[in-house]
Amino acid sequence: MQLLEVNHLSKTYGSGDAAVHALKSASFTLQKGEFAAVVGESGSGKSTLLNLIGGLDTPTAGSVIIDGKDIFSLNDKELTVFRRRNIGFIFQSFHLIPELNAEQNIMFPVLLDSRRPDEKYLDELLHVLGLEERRSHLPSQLSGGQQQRVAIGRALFSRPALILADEPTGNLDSENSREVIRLLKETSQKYSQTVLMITHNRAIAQSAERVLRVSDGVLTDLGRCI
Amino acid sequence: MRSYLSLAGISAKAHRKSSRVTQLCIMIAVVLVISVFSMVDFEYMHMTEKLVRDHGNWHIALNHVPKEEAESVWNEADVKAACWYDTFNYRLDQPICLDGRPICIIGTEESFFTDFWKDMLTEGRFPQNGSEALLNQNAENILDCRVGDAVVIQTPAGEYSYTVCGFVSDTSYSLARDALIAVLDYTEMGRMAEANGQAREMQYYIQFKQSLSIKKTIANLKASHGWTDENVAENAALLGIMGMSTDNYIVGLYGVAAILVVIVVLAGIMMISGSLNAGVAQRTEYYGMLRCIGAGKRQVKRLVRREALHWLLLAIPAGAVISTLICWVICAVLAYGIGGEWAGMPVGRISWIGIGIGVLVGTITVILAAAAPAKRAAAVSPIAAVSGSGDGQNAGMAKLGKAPVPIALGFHHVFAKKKNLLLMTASFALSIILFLTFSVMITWIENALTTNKPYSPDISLYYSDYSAGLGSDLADDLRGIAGVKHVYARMHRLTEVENCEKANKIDLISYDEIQFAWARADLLRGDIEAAANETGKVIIAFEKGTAFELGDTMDVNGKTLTVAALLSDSPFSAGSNPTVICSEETFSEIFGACNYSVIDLQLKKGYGDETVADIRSIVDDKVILSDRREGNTETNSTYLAFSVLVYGFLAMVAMITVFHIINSISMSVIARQRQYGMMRAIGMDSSQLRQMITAESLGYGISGCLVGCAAGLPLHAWFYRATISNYWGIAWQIPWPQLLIIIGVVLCSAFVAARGPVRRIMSRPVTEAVGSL
Repeated sequence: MQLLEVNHLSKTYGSGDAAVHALKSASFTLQKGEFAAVVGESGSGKSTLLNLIGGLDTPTAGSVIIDGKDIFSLNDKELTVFRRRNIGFIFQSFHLIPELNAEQNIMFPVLLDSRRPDEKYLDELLHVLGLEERRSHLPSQLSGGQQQRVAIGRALFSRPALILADEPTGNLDSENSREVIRLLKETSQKYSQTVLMITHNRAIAQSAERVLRVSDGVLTDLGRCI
Repeated sequence: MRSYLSLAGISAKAHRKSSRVTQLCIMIAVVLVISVFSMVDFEYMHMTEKLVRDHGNWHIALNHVPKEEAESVWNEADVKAACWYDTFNYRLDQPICLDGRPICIIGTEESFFTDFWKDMLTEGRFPQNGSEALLNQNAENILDCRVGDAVVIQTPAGEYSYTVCGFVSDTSYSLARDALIAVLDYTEMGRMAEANGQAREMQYYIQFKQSLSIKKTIANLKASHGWTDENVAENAALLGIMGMSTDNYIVGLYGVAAILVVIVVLAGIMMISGSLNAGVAQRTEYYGMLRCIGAGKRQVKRLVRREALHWLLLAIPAGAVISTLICWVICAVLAYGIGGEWAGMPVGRISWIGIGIGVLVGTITVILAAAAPAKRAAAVSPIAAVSGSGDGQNAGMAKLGKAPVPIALGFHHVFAKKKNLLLMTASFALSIILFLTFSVMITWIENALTTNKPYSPDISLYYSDYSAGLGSDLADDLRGIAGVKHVYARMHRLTEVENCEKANKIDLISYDEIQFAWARADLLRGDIEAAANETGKVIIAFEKGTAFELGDTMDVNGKTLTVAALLSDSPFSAGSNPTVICSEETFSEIFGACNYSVIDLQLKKGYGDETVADIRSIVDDKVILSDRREGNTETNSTYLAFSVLVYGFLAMVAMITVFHIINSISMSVIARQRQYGMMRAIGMDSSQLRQMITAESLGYGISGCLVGCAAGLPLHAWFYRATISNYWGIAWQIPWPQLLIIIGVVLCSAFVAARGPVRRIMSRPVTEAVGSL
């Protein structure tokens, strides 16, 4: 079942001679539960692609359809609600709320949606992520790997259909990186979530079900080979 | 954690240290508002007590209303007390005398002293029958009588004998007239007045039960009886302070408090908004991240506002305690330090009204102040979090020129963001404008409260008809009394003038040496020495509407007088005729040898009633000894209290200016923290950093000064002309001292403001400054 459909997506910054074509007519689709990696050099347009799919930025042309909904047909308010219910973000530098503990950070998006957090699911998630012992710790009391696991928990907790991860292992050592990717794969399979992840790490890219390469703004679907 | 809004509380607690400036701003705003309203509340209590003491505790007085109709009010309204009151020879102009001196007779009922003027009866009791009388203390002193003594009042219709049954205190009004007063039972007084052919002008004083509907009750009474304003006199002062009258002092006072509060709220919004804005700027990525994980714009706005309200919760208790302490100190200074009419200021009381309004205004201020930062936080794009660059884009290219790079960069920061420059300049300029405008009040106080002048007499001697009967030998004798500091006298004549277009009649007054010396302080233009030393030269006091100029001439009694000097003010308000001042020689040359009409005396410090008794002993019985000491003390204390208020207010404006500038610069640095961290990383040292931030800070200071002067000086001139020039003829000049003070305060604060932030930046590791969320 198709979850994400990207059609001729383009993004141009500036105009005239100063125009920078960050993304040029990118098109691809992802199935529900698929785990895909995006690779490419720095400045190739990977982050632009991710930001556009997440509705953080607006495209110059093209459309993004998530679960049958064209996200750019939504107004700002609708898009915000759509994002918090359907898309989970994981950042390279974790971006946790420094004042909230691990557990509170994980449930915060659900609170923003004025919903009651599912305590059972929270316990389960903390167990899966190996954070049961650390649930009351502030981000500053956690290691990098633990912080990224909290960020994964936050992305998963509202059961979004799509998880967008921008170099989630960029700030981690190789052991922690492996662990985080294992968890991401495991949980996405368990909860049937689609993951689109930017990475520079060849080994991690190879572990993905599908690899997309962006080079000078042009997207190429590499399938399973890299 | 039940709702996302709980984050506001957690965040406020976590940032308690770093948001100290914001908390301080909120606390200052709360302290100022509570202080202003508590002082108004204390002044309300004090004024109510004072008005009841001075004007009596009555609400309305019925005039020319028949007895039965007046007393029917008891059945129609909630009357607490009422009494009849009448006076006879109130102006002391009829041949009603006690021991040869004119006496004012008051007829009333006992309730007058038990319900309306409670502290007035100092000794004895109210007359129980027609043969008893109360006398005032002035009469007690002059006649040297006691309770039980017999006194005889002479009237054209015959003599009336009474036994003194007690004494009542003097008011400043009776002291100034040196009046004798007898209080009789009102039927007895009516008997005396009628026997002397005096028409009765009975008044019926009424005090209503405490109620909010006095205004309505008065209107109903007027309507049902067809009474006019002539029939119903209101105790305007007392009703005014109760908020039951339209023409009143306390409404004015609340008006002043309201203006002060608006200023405080504006300053508060400026300060709080500035620091919240900087907090938002510093946490751009934080808000961006909240937006990324699904927070709507409205939710971000709510979070920012809720966080500010959390700080308000911390600031309110501290603000209430500090402002109450401040009020206690001010009240103690007024009551014990200044004294006089302020002696009754309540010390050690808590004003719940003040605290209530402080909490309300503080909350409104914080909500208003948080609006802009909340909007700014909500406007942060979610992409700011993922891209890591929320602020500082599109700042324009810096023109480095020939100046050292740090200074050029500092000035570039000033002009890089037009909106920021506009806000900073406007807020600095606002302080200058406020300071300049309110400094006009200093000149106003100097001129408006005249009894504080060096020539204000403690005692004045004159005949009731102001006839010229006081000789120079009397003046010399008075100089010989121990405790007398200055004796100065004036001849006076209202006379016609010829060959003068500007007046037909003048009040010609003679000055002696010391009065000419005092007049120098009020000289507008011309030469006072000429008038003092040359016959035929005179001085004219400026009066609104008269157009005398130097060199104008007039003929009086065949002698030509030339205007040699113009004064801004004189101790006399001489009605419709211009006041012309000349030397005693000139006066004698015009009218021949004359006696004085008035002799004024000032007493030495520490000398009082005994000296006054000595003075009384050497003057003729017919001479009025007007004792102005009490009135002077009251005006002096009013002058002092006004000065404290005005200087206090100016100090407050200066303090807010200093604080605001330091705060703004500090916040501006915090907002650029990452950029400065980066500069340090690539090799900028602390002195270069200081140069850069000082240049930026001074840039804002200078632009604020320029705009502040450009707007503040015309406003100062306009305000000055409206309040000073129109009344005292003093031309407007650039107020250099005030201008230099406030510009100095602004530039010094701007200079000093850079130090703290630089120290803070340098104390943090570069990596932390660059990578902080």
